[in-house]
Amino acid sequence: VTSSLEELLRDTLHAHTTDAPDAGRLLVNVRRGVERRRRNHVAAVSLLAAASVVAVIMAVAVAISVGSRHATTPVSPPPIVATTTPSPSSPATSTSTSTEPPTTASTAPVGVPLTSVDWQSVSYPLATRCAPVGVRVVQVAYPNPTGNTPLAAVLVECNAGAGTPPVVLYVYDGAVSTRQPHLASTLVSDTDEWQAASFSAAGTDLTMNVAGFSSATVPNCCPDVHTQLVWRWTGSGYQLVSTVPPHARIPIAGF
Amino acid sequence: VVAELPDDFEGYVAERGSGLLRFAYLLTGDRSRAEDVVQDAMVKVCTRWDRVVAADVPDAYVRRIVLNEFLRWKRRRASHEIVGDVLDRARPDARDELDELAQRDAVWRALLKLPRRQRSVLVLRYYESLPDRDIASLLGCTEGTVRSLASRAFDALRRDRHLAPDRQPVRHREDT
Repeated sequence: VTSSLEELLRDTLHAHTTDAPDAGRLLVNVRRGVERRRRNHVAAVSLLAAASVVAVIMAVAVAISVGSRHATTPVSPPPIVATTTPSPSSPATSTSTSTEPPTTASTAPVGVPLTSVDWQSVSYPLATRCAPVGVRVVQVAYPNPTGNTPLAAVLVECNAGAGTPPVVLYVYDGAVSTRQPHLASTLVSDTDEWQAASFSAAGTDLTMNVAGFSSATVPNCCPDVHTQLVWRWTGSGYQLVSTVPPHARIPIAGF
Repeated sequence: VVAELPDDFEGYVAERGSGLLRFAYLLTGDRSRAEDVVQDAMVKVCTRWDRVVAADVPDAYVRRIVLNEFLRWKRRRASHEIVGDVLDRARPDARDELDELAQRDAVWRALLKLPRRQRSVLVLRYYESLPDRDIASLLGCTEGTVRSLASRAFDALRRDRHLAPDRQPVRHREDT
């Protein structure tokens, strides 16, 4: 019985090979597949390279900033440009002995310390644009530029499954609850179309290395504009003090 | 943008593509899935073409990649697979006149219901005519395991109710 079944099996398999697909499109499809694989590989490598460069630059920046702090103390740079002041200054901490200009975190709600905020649960303005994938918190830092201006800087992006979404950098100056911080300013908006992996907060400065595109024809894999954005605390808010190179604001599908 | 591939690789695909598609079709039982499996496999082959050319038996190397793609692909999609019942219902009732064509059809349907490794063993043994030693090497198991897989596959085929033309119990069981 097995022998006849083996025969039958052999016949069946050979007979069904006539139904196999034609090889006409195979080569073209393989070429496309190889190209796609190469592109992904290039994107991965360039991302890695960009991350390494950012890491090195940040390490150098941190080293320089630490060095300069040690060299000249205390550092109290004068405000370079006055920003819009939300309201007349009313320093809550009159006992402050700081030589800094008076702080103006007057709109900051008093509730819970910013460090207790659950940043993952916060409802960000970006959320409406990220729906339905949601928002991912990339980094949170707690700068305190004057010594009595506790702030939180939060870097977020859409929780995209693929690609590199643009980032948004928010600054919060207080919180009424662990889920409701008070937004003071948006330093980088999603419409700026900057990509970034992290930022650093040191002294009065916020620094972020960003990548963008020189034109809409540059492939998403490979941003070709790289610069360092620096914001400095002016007493009432962070002011951009670095120059921004021209770059395209590419609408990225799904965002 | 289309990738430029080594000339000898393109020649290889042109020459052996049809054979690999036939092999993949027998494994998958589905034309478009066979194309996917072979395409994915050939992309991998291209990226390691130097090694394939250097292999003692390039064809065996490529066949192993196709087979692995199939086994991996099956694992990836196993939860979505619907073979058994649907095929049973779709099958024409050829029990009374099991001529050669109907028998092949029944064997083909029964093959599609086998677990992927059992099906692989049967295809490699009865289509590719490979000895069990080579099949074991391709599947990364022992010859004993190959024999066991083949034996279980045959048991399943023999038990298949559509492959029992002159076995009354099958019909009795259904009738009662």
